[in-house]
Amino acid sequence: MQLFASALLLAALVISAPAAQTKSTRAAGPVTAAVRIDLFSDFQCPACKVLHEQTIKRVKEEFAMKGKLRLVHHDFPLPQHKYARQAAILAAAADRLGKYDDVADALFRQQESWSQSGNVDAVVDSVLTPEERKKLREIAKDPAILAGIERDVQLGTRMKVGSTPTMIVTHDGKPNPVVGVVNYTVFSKYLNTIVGP
Amino acid sequence: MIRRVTLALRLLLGAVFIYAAYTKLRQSWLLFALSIDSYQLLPEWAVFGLARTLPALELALGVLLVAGVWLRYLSIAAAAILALFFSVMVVSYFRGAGIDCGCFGLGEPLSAKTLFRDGVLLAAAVVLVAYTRHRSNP
Repeated sequence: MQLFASALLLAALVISAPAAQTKSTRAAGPVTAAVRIDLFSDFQCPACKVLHEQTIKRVKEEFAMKGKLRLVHHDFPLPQHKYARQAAILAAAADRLGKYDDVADALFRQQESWSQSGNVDAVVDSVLTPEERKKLREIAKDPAILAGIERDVQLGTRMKVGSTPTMIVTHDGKPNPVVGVVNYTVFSKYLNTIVGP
Repeated sequence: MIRRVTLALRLLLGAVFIYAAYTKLRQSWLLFALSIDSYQLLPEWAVFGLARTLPALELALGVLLVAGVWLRYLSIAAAAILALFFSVMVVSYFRGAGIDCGCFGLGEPLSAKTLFRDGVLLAAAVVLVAYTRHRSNP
């Protein structure tokens, strides 16, 4: 029964993953990887910023980009964070332009300022060309963008994500939730034991 | 009466420590290290050291409490460990750290419920200390 539930969950995760044909950088690493990390994050959450900057970027470079695991970013904007949903919409739109990483980095780097001012657009614009800004505004209006975020939130809720950041590390069909900020050294030591040679 | 309460408390605490150890020992010790690390209170060497030793310590303490040996000292040890856990959890909870409790394996967020549960266990351990002292000093 538990195995069946895990298989269903895994299927839901694969279905909800950003589409491969959109050259998305929200997901990195081979789809067939034996280890999968589903990261549920909120651009306005301070702990998510720390995890992104200290751990996730290195996990992406050292593990996902080297084909050792698959890392998928899911938006999980918390209701108490006033501008988190707007930030998630703009980042998802930027992903369609192939600029997700740049926008996500900028949003986390300048989190403190836009969390207070609410001026998310200015931060996003700072890493885009004038033409990209125009395109991004159009893409952001696409209802599919918001629907994708809602799907992420629903998936997180189904996976019992109660706070951000939460990483669900799935290995051998078994999901292991890792909640909060973890240092790269500790996390990579664990990952090295499960990704194999 | 005191004898019955002492028996009930040491069996309860012993079972809790054994179960806590079991949930940690059945998974990779590195997953427990991740739970400890998420508290962001210890350096890496201490995180690894604690993750390797704490489950065994909990198991030994649980078994000895159930066996009822060296009760006077073990009840103090149990109360001290629970007081330490409780303080760390309270600090992290009020710091707003959305983390895993790490108490009984993965997947249990630190919450008012986990604080209440650990508080009750701590109170039980303190009562056990008081009762075992009472028995030792008639």
